[in-house]
Amino acid sequence: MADSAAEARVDRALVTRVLLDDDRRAFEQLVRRHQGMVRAQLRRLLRGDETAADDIAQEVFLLAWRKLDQFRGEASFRTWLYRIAWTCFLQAQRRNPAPADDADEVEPPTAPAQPVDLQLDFELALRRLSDGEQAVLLHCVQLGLSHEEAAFVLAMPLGTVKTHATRGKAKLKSWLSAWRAGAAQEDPA
Amino acid sequence: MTHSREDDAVEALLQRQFEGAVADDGFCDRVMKRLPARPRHRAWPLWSGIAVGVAACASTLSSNPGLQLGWRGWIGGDMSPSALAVLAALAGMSLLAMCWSLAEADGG
Repeated sequence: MADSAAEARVDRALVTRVLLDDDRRAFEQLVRRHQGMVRAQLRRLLRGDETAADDIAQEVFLLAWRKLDQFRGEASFRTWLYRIAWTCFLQAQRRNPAPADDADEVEPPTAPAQPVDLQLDFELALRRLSDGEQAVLLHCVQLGLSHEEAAFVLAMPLGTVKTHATRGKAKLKSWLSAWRAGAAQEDPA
Repeated sequence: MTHSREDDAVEALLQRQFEGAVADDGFCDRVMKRLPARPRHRAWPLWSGIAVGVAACASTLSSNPGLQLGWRGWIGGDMSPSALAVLAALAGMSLLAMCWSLAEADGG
């Protein structure tokens, strides 16, 4: 908690330097501090497409540079960047819609008849969740945001974020139970 | 809602799947090369607008008999109803300006 408060203070100081002194080096510091996680967020959203993720990430930081005076400090700087990244991701999706998965998104994930690799199968199970559930689990569990922060980033009501988190985890838990049962049958020893 | 072992297992799988922060590999340099000059916000249009607004108000209100009476009363130390009305109007505008400044400062 103390670490994140200190991080937030550093970010605010750097933002102030950019706005007051037009300090490009201060903005470079902000980019260095946050590029790793923003790019990681976009790579997850774009399912590993590193080139597309980095293109969007560049746009995110250019937008942040142009709109830095709109950063009001209600959320942390990183959360603000995540929000810009999410918006840019949605715009990119509208311009180039991703091909639909073969499986119906609404259909709950089912364990494979022959469990091969837990992590691999888990990735497939995750992709069977709804877009909202995937987005919430990415931001809340993998990026470490609170529900309130995720609601800000995803521009969703807080209740919706909590519902997606609960439902997504419930589906994955039942998938995991089925997977373990399948693995136990496959290898009773 | 209790946090079960299954919740922990699912969260552990989600965390393991996440590769974490991406190494820079020249990304920052590429961004900085593309950075345009920051737009400079000039203050003169705002101050010109304020000056024109104040001048327009003064010109419109200067011929108002109630205001003239109140102003003369205030200058002369006579707290007539007109003078009190002028005082209240000025105090109200000052309070409004203060609240606005505080709201802008909080949001910044």
